[in-house]
Formats: sequence, structure tokens, C-alpha cells
Amino acid sequence: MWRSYAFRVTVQGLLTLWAVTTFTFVMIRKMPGNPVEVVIDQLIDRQQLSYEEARQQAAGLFDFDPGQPLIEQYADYMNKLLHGDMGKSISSAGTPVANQIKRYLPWTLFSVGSGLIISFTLGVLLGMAMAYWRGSVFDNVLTAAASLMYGIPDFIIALLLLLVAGVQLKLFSMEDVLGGVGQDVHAGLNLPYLKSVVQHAALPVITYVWGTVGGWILTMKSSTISTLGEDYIMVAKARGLPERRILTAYVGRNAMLPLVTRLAISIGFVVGGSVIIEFIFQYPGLGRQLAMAIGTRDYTTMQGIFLVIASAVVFSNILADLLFGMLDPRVRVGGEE
Amino acid sequence: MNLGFGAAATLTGLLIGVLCSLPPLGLALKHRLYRPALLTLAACALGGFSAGLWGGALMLVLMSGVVISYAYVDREDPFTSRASIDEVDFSESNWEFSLRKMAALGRTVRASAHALVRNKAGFLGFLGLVFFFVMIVFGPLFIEYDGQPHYYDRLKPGAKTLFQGPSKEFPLGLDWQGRDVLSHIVYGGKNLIRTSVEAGLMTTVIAVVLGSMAGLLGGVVDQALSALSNFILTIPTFPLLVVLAGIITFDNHTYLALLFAALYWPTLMRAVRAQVFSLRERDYVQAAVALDLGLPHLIFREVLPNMISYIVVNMIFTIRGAMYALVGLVFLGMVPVQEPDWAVMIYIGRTRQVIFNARAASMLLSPIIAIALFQLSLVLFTRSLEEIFNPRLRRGL
Amino acid sequence: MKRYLHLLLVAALAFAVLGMMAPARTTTAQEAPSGVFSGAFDYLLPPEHHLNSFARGGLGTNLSSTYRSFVELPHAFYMWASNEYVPLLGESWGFADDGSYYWTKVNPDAKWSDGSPVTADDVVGTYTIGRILGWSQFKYIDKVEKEDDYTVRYYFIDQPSLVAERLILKEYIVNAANYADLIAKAQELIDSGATPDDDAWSALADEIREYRPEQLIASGPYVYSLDDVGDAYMTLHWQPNSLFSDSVNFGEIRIWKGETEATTPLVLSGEVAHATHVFPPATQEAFQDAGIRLITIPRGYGPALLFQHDHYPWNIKEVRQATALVIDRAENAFLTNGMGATPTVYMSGLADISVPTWLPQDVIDQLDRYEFNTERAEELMRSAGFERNDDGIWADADGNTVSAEYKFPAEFNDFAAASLNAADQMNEFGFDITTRGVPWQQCAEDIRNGDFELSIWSWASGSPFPARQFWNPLQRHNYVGLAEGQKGINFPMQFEWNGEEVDLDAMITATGAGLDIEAQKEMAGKVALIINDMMPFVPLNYLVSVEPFNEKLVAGAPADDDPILKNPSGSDHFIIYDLLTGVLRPAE
Repeated sequence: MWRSYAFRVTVQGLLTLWAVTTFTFVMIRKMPGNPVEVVIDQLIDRQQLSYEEARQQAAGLFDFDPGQPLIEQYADYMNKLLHGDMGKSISSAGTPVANQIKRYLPWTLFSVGSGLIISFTLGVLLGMAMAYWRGSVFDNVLTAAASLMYGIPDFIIALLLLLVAGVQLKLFSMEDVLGGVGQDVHAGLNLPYLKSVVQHAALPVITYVWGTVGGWILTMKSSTISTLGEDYIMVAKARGLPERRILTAYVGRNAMLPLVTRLAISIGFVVGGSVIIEFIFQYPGLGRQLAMAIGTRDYTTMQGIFLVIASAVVFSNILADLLFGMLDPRVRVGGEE
Repeated sequence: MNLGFGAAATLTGLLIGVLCSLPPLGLALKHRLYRPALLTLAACALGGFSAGLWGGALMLVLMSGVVISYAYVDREDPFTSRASIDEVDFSESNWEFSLRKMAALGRTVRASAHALVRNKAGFLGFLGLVFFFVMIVFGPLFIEYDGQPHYYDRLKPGAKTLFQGPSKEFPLGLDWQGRDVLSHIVYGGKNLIRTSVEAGLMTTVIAVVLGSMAGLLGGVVDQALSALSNFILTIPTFPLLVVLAGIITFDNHTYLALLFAALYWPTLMRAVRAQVFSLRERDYVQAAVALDLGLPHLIFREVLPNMISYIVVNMIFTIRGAMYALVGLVFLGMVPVQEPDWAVMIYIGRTRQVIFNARAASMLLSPIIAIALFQLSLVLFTRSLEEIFNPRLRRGL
Repeated sequence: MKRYLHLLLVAALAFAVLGMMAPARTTTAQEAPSGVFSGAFDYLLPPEHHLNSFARGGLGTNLSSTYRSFVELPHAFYMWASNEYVPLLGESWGFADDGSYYWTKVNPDAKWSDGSPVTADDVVGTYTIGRILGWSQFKYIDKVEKEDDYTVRYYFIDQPSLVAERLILKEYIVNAANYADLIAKAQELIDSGATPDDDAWSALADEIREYRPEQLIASGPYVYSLDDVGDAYMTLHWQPNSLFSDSVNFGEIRIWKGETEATTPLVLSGEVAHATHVFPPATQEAFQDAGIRLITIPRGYGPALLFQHDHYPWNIKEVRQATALVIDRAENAFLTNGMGATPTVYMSGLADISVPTWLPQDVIDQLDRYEFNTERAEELMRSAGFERNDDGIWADADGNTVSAEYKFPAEFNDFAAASLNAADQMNEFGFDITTRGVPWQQCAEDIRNGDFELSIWSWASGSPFPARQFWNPLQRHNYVGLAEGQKGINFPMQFEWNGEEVDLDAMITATGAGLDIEAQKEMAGKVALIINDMMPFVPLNYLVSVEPFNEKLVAGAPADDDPILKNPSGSDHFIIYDLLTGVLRPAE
């Protein structure tokens, strides 16, 4: 049964990926403008070329023919993809999409990934504690703080961090916080490099945690509260089990269930980065690259990054389904009825 | 003449409210219930004044229930009577039946009101929501909408912009066209709050129904719904919206809410599904399944109450998400730039980079703080909701 | 064989020049000047960033027209105040007496960063590749030939043109040795008589685009390698061999990465000395509060309210004129971008700064300036058969109201503000205008397709010539200049005006034909009068680039009345010239 389940899940995942890829393929080409037209507009505005001149010059910049039938483009793309080739970027002729992903993905994984881990851990612990001491000052203050924090969008947080801590208080120099790593250190496993990486990731991670932790706190708290009302908790209390044990073994485990799905989805989207944070802190992540590709209508780069994101989401959801079984042995997800 | 929401905050609305209060008021006076009578009058008048016929009618029903619950407190419910079965008269006229139901409604209202007041944090949240409600409905009575640019009359000599920081005359300062930010806050919340609350409700309903179905039915249904949710989850939202905005534009906010719900249900749906998988194995759910009580019963009687606080918090986040998503839709042109609107304020504040200028930041920060406070009120208010819907929690822990 | 000899000769000559220069070079103590000039531009990171000057992602993409000249020099720099070119890489230039070709001569002292001289071969090589890539110069010229070691001839296809002169003089010259293989292939292909439609042609174009030179060979005083491109900033390093190596005062040029929102904190914190981004008014105020000087220079264009002439009643001249009258342009300019926009004065379709240069005085006197006047507008509306209805909205006899949806690019904060304010003012007069912000790509496409009722895009251009200014938007966004099936604003270009049949399209083109400036001025006057009367679009205001310049970091910025500040920001930025010639220096 396990084997057939794994097989089914894999097939289903692959089918979803294919469907999304196909859908995305058509959709992004239906966006207004195309890579050539976007550049034509820029050339006309910046160099005062006539439309004809700009069109000719723009065509000279791309290995892309907007006139090619969609179905042909699709066949080409799928064929290459099946051979493990994501193609070359359109707006940066000659740069393989795989290289772009290799360049930017690690930074995103590191910054958003560690942000997510911190945010999730903090949220789960605080949320559980708040549910347990429900109604206390600690709970009330944190509830207020969490919902206020979660109500403020991340671009405000990021800009205020730079403005207040950087420009006004001069707590750090811009050179030390912008970008992914300092320019004066050599890449490799040496202490200055690692230190620089951590230092540069600090602001993006703080912003990410600030902007998301409230959500985790409040969902964990509410989930725990739902669990606290359960009969078996009452029974456990009646049996005189120590509270700590009830909290960890009974409450925590069950309260985590809905959060694990949420976490799985978040893990999937880690790959997509956090666009605004990356733009403001010049963090060389995949999210910013994706936004730029969308802006220039770089179809192949967009397609490549979307594929990576979709794979991550699908994969982490499968993983979450498997994880349930461990958290709650009663559950057999997708098991035969 | 519009007697519905259009009558809100007008004399007509007040009149409707007072008229609506007459039946329960009469009843209360007849039974010499003076406190409820006073409450009835106040509630109905307020209801009518704030939401026209709708508010009046709602209050009419609720307050009638309350009065009846006081007046008919002695009438025993035949089904719960402790008297010997022979003595109970099970035959009940329609009139008696409706009286009994009204009394039950009244008791619920009273219990809820008590629960509401008992939890301080929850009550604070309730007050916060009332504040927003009052601001939207009654604010326009006191503050005039400032819609036209003030280039010549509010330009300070030597200034490069019309922005002004908070002052006595303009407590929230002036925006980019020299207009009073406070008036835009007062007038601009209605559509955004309505649309995003609609969006939140729709998203939650879809997510809960589909999640429960997937969890309870399992098998093929689960597989299909999981695949669908995975698909929607992985479709890149931004390009999709860009494409959609090029094809369709909305002037109807309910469609916007629907669009949001259609795109954002999967996250909550998967959480509900996971929880249902776990709940399904509990004895009482198994029992319900064994009794073949039907899907609606399972969803609304067994699953929902057990997740209610989780679902409510998620709904609040969905509402918040919808608010910021609507700002994005202004960017994309799916909705016209129609002032006054908090979303438009955020859009303009963002593109005009007011955050870098202390005198100008108000037009961006005010709506954001308003949204944050609205969310805070909702979150606090869930405390009271929990007390009302999940009585077990009152027992402690 | 002949070519081989030729090459030998060049090499010999190069050696001779080198030999002559060598002692001179050792005497000017070759030490990098101290000081860092820090600017800002949203360059790309490797792998998208590379050193191929001909492809996207190369110098043009990463250095913008402001910083590129520090690395690769064009022949000349244009001074707008005096309408003349001053030399950079070139020494002299001109039209052939019979007008059949244009010629340029490279400064014989010019050298590449590897020490080799800049020669005519570099110029010809640059154009050989440009030809494969379809550069716009080849609309005017067909052959680029070397006359002697430094002189190059560009043969016109038909008549000589000032526009072509500008394109030629402003083209950045690339080191031919760095692209030797590709140039040889390109020359071979051109010699074989191939055309751009051939597969071999596009295959070679692909090869050119995908070529990644290992190093940059610069003619400007700065050079960089990919190691100098960091996440937060990239650094251009001084090199001793350029014509301008001795005159510049900075050892490093640091370019911080980021678009406007990310650059603002850098300017405020004093990291960036000068930036060319479009800063909104609130930011301008914040800079001033921080004691940073703001330098204003023309941006070369401004926002224009575009009518869809198929949409009733925008096809009625009086309604368009009334629209121009009810929008207070002083208010609109102020709200568009604070000190970053000036209200249009002459309403002639020509940027106000170009009006005194290009329009005869009697024409200027005849121009209607459309000063804000609602009574005059009401009269015009009534004369066209409109009255205010019960709701206060203007409507014709059949009850059709003057109503429209105003579409604007949501991301462009200045265009968005201009639109929102214009709509507010029109509504106050009694039009019924709703506004909708859309992504700029959508807006551009909708304007081209004529899929709008009212919209906004630029008018005039960063070109000094009237033909190129009138062109936007009357030819650019109108059926005459667009692709098949696109109608744009759909303003009919042939009509009767003052009892005379006119072809506005031909007239605008004629303002740029040939070299006879006086004839061009006369024609420009006629066109200006027609545009002024027909109001096919409303030039709301003219944009000014408000550039923060931190004088605590860099000294020597031009005074506010310095004629070089007449140069627009996009095409002939004063920073280029003042930095290269050593006017700018590190502050004490």
C-alpha cells in the first residue's frame, strides 16, 4: 500500500507541475507587451528613436521572435525541458536560466529559510504559551503586539529599518547591510566571508520575521485553544498528568497539525523569496530576479523560476501529508478507506 | 427614496429605527419591563440610524426575542420539562412555537451579550469594531469630505509640496493635493472593509467546505481537491492578475471579493483538511459517520466547532490579506482609482514615497495603522467569540 | 593582399605613435587620483551582467548613458545652450561638401586602456557589428569606410541629416581587437551580399549577442572587471591611458545599485553623491531638509493628456481647447512633481526651451497660451452645442455627456499624479472623468492600439530637433507612425486648416529634412501654429530632473545659471562632461 501511495502521489505531483507549467506558459505570454516591445518603449523614450528604428534595434538585441506560433514555442520549450534544459534568458541573451537560478536561489533559501525557521519557532512557542496562560497580561500584550505587527506591510518595516536605524541613528553603515555579502571578502569557507554573509542577511531576516511572526503566534494560539477544549485533554488533566507533559505531548502535537500544512506551503514559497525585502536591501535573491523578469517580460527566466517555485510547493505539500502520519498516528492520509 | 443602507445616518433612518422599536417596546411596557424597554428603544433607534431598514429590522427581531425571553420566562419548553410525561402537553400551537423560538433567540442574545462584556480583551475588541463602525457611519456627519485639490489656498511659501504634518486644524495632516487626510480616513474605509470582509467570509466558507469534504470523504474526492488546491496554489498570482486586469475590470466589489476567494482558499483549505483527518478518527465523529448524519451535519456540527477559533483567526488574516491585495489591484487597474479609499491612499503614498518625509508620511501611515487597528480589534474580539461559541473554554485551563 | 598591407601600415603607424607617446606617458606621474565619486544606477548582477558592449546586459544596460562615457567614449558631447558639439574621443567631424557623406576623425592621442591607439579601424569595426544588429544609424547611412588611420566616412543613403549626425557623434566606440573574430565574420557576411533576412545573418547576430569578452578595454579614464560588480555597488577604477586620465579627479567611481525607493536612503545617509532617479516631491523635500543640494535639469519631455479622437466628443476641436483651458497647468505641474515639473507655456508641441531657438518671433506672438480660464472654456463648449445638465455635467443637445475613462500608467508616479490631478480639475469644470491606473506595459499597449478614451504619455523628446519633438506623440502614438492595425490617438493628419489643405505628417517630417536650418524653422513655425490651434493633445507640463547633489562629498558642481545645465538628463548629462574634464572634484 505504501508503494502504491508513493507512486500515486508522485504521479499526481508531476501532473500538477505539468498543468501549472502549461497554464503559466500561456498566461505569461498573454501579459501585455512582450520582451521586444518593452525594450522598444525604453529605446524610444531614452534614445528618441522612431518606432521603426527602435523595433529594428530592439530585434537586434534578442533571439526571440514574437511572431512564432504559441504552439511551436510550447513544443520547443517542453522538448527542451524534458531534456533538462530550461533554455536561455531572453532579455539577457546567452545567459542560461539554470545559471541564473543557481546564482540567486542559495541567497533566497538562506535568508528566507532562516527567517521562516525563526519566525515559525518563535510563533509556535509563544503561541502555545499564550494559549496556556490565556487571559494573562503576557497573553494580552503579545496578542496586541502580534496583530499590530502583522497588520503592517513589510515594505514599511524594511524602509523604516533603513531610515531609522541606518540613516538617523547610524547603527550600521549601508555598505555592511546592503547586498548579500561584502565586496572585500573572498567567497569560500572562511570566517570573514561567513560573518559577512550573516551580517548582510540580518536586516532581511529581521524584516521577514517581523512581518510574519504575528501570523504564526496567533494561528498557533488559536489552534492550541481549539485543542485545549478537547475531551482527552480533560481526561489527561483528570488523570493528574503533569501540566508540562500535557502541554508538550498532548496539546502541542495536536495543535501543530494545521500549522504544519501552513508551514509546508510557506516552505514551498521560500523559494520565491520576498520580493520587496530583496529590492530594498539589494539582496541577490530569486524573488527580485523574478520580479525583474516579469518587468522585462523575460519569458524563459520567468518560466524557469516559476517551475522551481511550483516544484517546491508541490513537493513540500506531499511532505506535509506524510508528516501528519508521524504527528498523529491515527491519521492515514490518503490511506484506503 | 432609499430606505435600506441609503437611509443610514439620516433622519429617515432614525425614524425607521424608532418605528421598528414600537412592537417590542409596547410588549415590554405591557409587561412592565422598563430596563429592557429602554434598551429596546436605544438599540432599535441606533440600528435604524446606522443601517436603515436593515438595521431596524434586525434589531426589531433581536430585541423582540429579548423582551419575549423576559416576558415568557415561565413558559416551560415541553421537550425539556421535568414533569411526568403524561402531564406535559406536547401539542403546541404555531404561535406558542414561535414564542418559544423567539424566547430562545432572546436568551442567546442575552448570553452572548454577557459573554461579550465578561471578557475584557474581547470587549475591547468589540469596542474597537464599534469605533470603526461609528466612524464609517457617523463620521460623515461631523467631518466634511475634502476632495478637491488645494493648490492656491494651502500652499505654504517656499514649500515644494502640499503635504503637511499633523496640526490642530488637520489632526492627520494634508495629503499630496493638500487635502485633509482625516476626512479620507473617515470616508475611505467603507468599501475596503466591506469588500475585504466579504472576501474573508467567502474564502473561509470555500476553504472550510472543501477542506471538510476532502478530509471526511477522502479517496477520490480528496485527491481531486488536493490536486486542485495545489494547482491554484502554484499558479503565479501576479502575472495571472495582470492578465485578468487586461481582460476584465470590476466596478462591483462583490466580484472582487469572489475573485480573491477563488485565488486564496487553498492555504486554509489544506489546514482544515489536515485537522479533519485527525478529527475523523475521534470517537464522536466516527459515531456521527456511523449514524449517517450527512455531510452538512458533520461539517457544521462536528468539525467546525472544534476548529472555530483557528478558522476565525485565519479569516481575520484573510481579511487583512484581501485589504492589501486590493491595494495591488488598484496598481493593476482592475478597479478604478476612486477616492476616497484607503487602498488608493496606500497606492499613492507608496508611489509618491511619502515614507521618506515626516511631514508627508501621514497619508500612507494613517490607512496602514487603521488597517492594523481594525485587525487588532478583530483579533481581540475573537476572545468573546470563543466564549460564545466554545463554552468549554469557560470552564478553565 | 591589399588589406594585409593596409593592416601592416596601421601597425607601423601605431608603433610610431606609441613610441612618440611613451616618454610623455612616463613623465605624467601615473598615479590614480584620490577620491571617490559615488552615483547610483540599477545595474544587473552577473551572470546577466557581462562585458559585451553590443548586447543587453553589457555596458549600455549597466552604466546608463550617464556613466557609460567614463568607460567608452563617443566622438563628441552636445551642448544644448550653444547648439554645438564639443570633442570627446573625436578631434573633428563634418558633412562632406556635396552632402554625400559624413566624416569623423578620432583624436590621434586617444588610447585604449591596454595602451594601443584608438584608430579608424575601431570605429569601422564598431559599425560593422552595429550593422548586423540593425542599428538605427543604418536608416540614414549604408556604408562606413575608413578614409585614413583616424578618419571614417559614413555615406548617406539619400540626403544628409542632422539627426544622423547626432546618432553618429553620440555612438560609443568599441575596441575592435576585443571583437576581432566577430568583426571579421560580419565583414565577410556583408561583403557576401547577405541581407538581414538571411539565416546566416541572424545566426551571426545570435553569436554576437552571446559573446562574452573576458575583459573590458576602455577608451575612457575608468575600467572595471566583473569582480568589481558587487551586490550593493560596482566600482570603476581609474586607468592611466585615456585622453581624460589626467584631467579627472577621482580614482574610483562607485555606482550603488537600486531603483528610486532603494536609492533614497543612500542619498539621505550620504553614501550617494549624485543620483539621476525620478524622485517624487516628498523625497525632494526630505533631501533639502538634509542639506543636500538639488540640481534641476530638463528631462526632455513631459506628460501629455492624450485624447482618443474616435471617442466622442474628443473629436470636436472646441472641446479639446476647452479641456486645455480648464486644467490649471501651474497647479498640475506642481502636483506632478513639485519642482520637478514646469507648466507648459507656449502649447506649441515643441518644448518651451526649444521655442526661442526654433520658432520665428511672429509665430511665437501668435501662439494661444491657453491660460486657465473657465469662462472662455464655457463659451467654447456652448459654441460647440454643449450645456451643463441637471447634474452639472456638460452634455450636448441629445444629452450625451462629456464623459471618459482616463487610463494612466500606475507605476510612473509623475504621470499618475498628473493624470489624477488633471481628472480632478476636469471634473470640477463639469466633465465626468473616472481614472484607472494600469501597469505601464498595459498602458503603452492600449495607447498604441487606441484602446483608451483619455490617457497620458510623453510629448516632446530629449532630442534638440523640432522634427523629433513634434514626432511625439503626433507621429509616435498616431496611426501614421505605428505598425499596421494600430491607431493610437487616431488624430487625422490631413485636414483643412485656415482654408488650406495640410498634411501635418509630411510637414513634421519636413522640419527635419536636409541641412537648411532656416527652411526648417519656417516649417516648424507652421506646424507649431497648427498644433496650437487643433490641440490634438494637451501638453500638461514639462518635466525637470531634480537631482540630489551632495556638495559635502563632491565639489565643483555647476552653478544654477551655468549653461551646461540646459542639457537634458537623459541624453547629454552634465556629469559626463564635468567629470571627464575635471570640473568635478572631491570636496575638501
